[in-house]
Amino acid sequence: MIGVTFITFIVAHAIVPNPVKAWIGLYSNPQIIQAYTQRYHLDDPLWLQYIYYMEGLFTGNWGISPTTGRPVLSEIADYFPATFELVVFSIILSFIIGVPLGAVAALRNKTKTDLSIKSFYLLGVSSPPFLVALLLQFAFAYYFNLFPSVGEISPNIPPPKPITGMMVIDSLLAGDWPAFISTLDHLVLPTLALTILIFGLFTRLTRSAMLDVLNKDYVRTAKAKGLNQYYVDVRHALRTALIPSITILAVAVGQLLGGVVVIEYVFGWPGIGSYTVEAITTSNFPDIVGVTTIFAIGVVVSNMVADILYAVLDPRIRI
Amino acid sequence: MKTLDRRGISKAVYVVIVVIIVILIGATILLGTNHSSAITTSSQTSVVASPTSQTTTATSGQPLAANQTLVVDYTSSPGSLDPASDVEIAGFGIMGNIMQSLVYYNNSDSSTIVPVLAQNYSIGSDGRTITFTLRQGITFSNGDPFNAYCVWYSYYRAAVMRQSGAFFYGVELNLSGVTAAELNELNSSTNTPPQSLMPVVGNTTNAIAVLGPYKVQIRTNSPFPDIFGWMVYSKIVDPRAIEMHGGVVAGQSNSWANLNPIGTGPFILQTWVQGSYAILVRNPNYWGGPGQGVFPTPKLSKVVIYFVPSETTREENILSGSADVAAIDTPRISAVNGSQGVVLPDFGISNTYAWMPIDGRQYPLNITQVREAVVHAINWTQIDQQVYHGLLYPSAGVVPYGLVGFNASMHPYAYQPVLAENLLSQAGFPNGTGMPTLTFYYATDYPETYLVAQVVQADLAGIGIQVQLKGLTFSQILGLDSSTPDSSPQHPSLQWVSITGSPIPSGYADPLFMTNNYGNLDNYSNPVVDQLLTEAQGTFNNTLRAELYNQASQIVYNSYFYYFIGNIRDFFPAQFFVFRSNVHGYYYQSAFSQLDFSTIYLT
Repeated sequence: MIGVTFITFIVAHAIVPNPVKAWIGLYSNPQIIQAYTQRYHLDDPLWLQYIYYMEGLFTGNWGISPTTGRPVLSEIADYFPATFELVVFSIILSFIIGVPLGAVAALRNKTKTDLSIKSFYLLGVSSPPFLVALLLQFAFAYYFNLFPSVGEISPNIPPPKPITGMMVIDSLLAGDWPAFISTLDHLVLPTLALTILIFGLFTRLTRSAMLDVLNKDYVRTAKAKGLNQYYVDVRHALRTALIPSITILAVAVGQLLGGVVVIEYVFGWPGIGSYTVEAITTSNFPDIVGVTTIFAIGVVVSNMVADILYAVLDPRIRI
Repeated sequence: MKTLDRRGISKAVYVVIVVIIVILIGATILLGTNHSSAITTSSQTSVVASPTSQTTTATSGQPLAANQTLVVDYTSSPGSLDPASDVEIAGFGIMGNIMQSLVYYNNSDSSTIVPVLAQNYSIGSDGRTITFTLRQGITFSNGDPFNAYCVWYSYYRAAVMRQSGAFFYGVELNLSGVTAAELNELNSSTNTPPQSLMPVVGNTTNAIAVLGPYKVQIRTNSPFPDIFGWMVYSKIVDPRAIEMHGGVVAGQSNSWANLNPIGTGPFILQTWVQGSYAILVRNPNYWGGPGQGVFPTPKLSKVVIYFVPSETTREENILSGSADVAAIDTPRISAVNGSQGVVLPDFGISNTYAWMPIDGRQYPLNITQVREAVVHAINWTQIDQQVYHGLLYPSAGVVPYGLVGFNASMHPYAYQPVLAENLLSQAGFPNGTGMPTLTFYYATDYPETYLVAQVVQADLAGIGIQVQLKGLTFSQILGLDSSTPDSSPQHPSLQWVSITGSPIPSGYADPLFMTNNYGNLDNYSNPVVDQLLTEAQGTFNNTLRAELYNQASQIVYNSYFYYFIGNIRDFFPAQFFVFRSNVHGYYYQSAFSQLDFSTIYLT
């Protein structure tokens, strides 16, 4: 974690060594520049600035955003839940679509069905996120007018009172059905776009795991015992083949947290991706380092969850 | 054996998966059918005047509609809506509809300043002292009264906080002498200070002094006719609201005020989902009204502002009618303009002034002949036609088009490649031999600047000068300019810059061309020019001002430190705005940054 903060801190300063003007813009005077310089220790050597920053980080003070004047942690808390919500829904949908397709592809190995599924997920995985998002937006928001093109909730509906920060969950918890419907409505297209990009991960993993399992002795034995084909495929083969996919869920969450920027950009989704882009464009290092730290924590935690899940699902690796 | 039995996925997981699938399918069907009622645009709202609204008629003769909603697609979400903290276009575009200043321009008429929160004003014989008599009976949207103490508080609060917004409050004003503790004493429901604070509030040696509950005096450092051009940005805040939410802390912004603008303006902020949208609704207690000058009672009942960073999405929204107004980037304006039902209004020549600073301290650009060769090698017409779609106005000099001191006979440098080659040879670089590669920084958040950079690169290659293109955001380029020595190779050799300021000459001439001023990105320095600009900014005699600015323009022009691009027609500070054809009543005013919704209506 310390390494991540150190590298990010250095990189954030690499392009623009003294970012004061980037923060406050063209209109400034020497007094304001001096005030910002003192506030962020910009006259001190970089290593000392880093120590000041880390001192704050460890004491719960992640600094004040120089461009908004608000505490960085508070801003992250505002933006992060929207991204988390999008990622979790996409992962769930990807799992639901990807796993059955992977199983079918394995069961119809080297047939036209297998080839079709492979082509389908390869198309998704290899498509540029921007293109997928724009195509969906054009088709479902403008052409068929089924879903809204931007935002997280309709402006005609008051947003639910923040509890988790995730509007779908908050509206559900509050029993605010109009808000719930509206947030789900807005969630469909970005979720679908992200799902198209990642469901192939589950399909490919399930397919290869399933192929592996189908050749195992116990599956052959089950078939030899005359068990029902469906029962063998689902209860014996898929059940075991699901383990890698379940565990990859957690890893995918960590990866996707940092990969939804384009989707958020196109759909005007008020998530941490948009916030990060804004921070980078102004060389806003307190925000950049704060977000990177959160992402790093997210990846570490999700990997830990993956390990625990693996141990829960597969008793052979338990200590 | 028990452990092995638990391996794999249980039935419960399958059940959960099936349930989720059913919910998702059901929700999709439900949402798909409900969508048309979930989003309200102008075309779906009633524009029929109610009996109440029929009794009130706007100055344009349009009846006030009961339920008009305007949907606007801006590009970015503001960082803050506290005028003491914010200097962004995005923030001012919203704040300007919520908060007001003592004076403002008469809508699109940049030559006339009219009182807003002030009733009238008079300028003292010293040219430094302006006494404002304020309107009485005005309240902030929360019911708190507006008075002279609010003016005093707003100016000194910004100075004490020392955030970027302090700049606008402090131009040519010495806002020292008041502390945070003194400001925090102004904490009453009537916005009236205690007697103990009166000597400070009424101290006429300070830049801002309250002469009575509705009379305030502002004293500039020196005679400064352009002070009103800066005062339009200095919005008046409600002391009571701020004191109830953290007050004033020296050197710190107020997190509550950043998110909760309270003003006297025609709109109030109903909702702001950061990064997503903001909703402004008509201020039911608004003091303004039909026929009372600028900022009339709004005809719109609601304005929904989406923050849409994707140009493609904004385009699709305006073309499909999902948005009534949208910001469009320069490279796309030609394609969008003229589409069915979409209008790019003829706003005329804007106050956006574009130019390219040339780093005259960096070798070999420190040689005058090299700079002269550079400016004559660039084809201005090509930039106008290919990048700006013929919307450039060929202005040059220290003052842009339309302002006192603008020199109509001065144009961007003529494209003379043969002359440029000769000059380069005379400077010791025949056909560019021996010339180091120059670096052109373009702004990635202004896509047209990459096109400009490509034109410049090709044109300079034509005379043998190699140019490397580098992209950073405009903010990052500003940061790079100020953090690298201008004589170093890391400093941009060439860069694209534009500024859209209040329509006052000193708002352009001083920052861009005066030694060590904030907008002087290539650190141009000439004591004679400094002297001329200082004299010009301090005189009320417009004939003399024009002459002084003209002299400065001639010197700067002949120094070749700047490649002037000119003013852009129909342009708002960062993009063009296109409107659906049923939107009316808009106007262009560069000081507003974006749109004044109080005059807009739908048919």
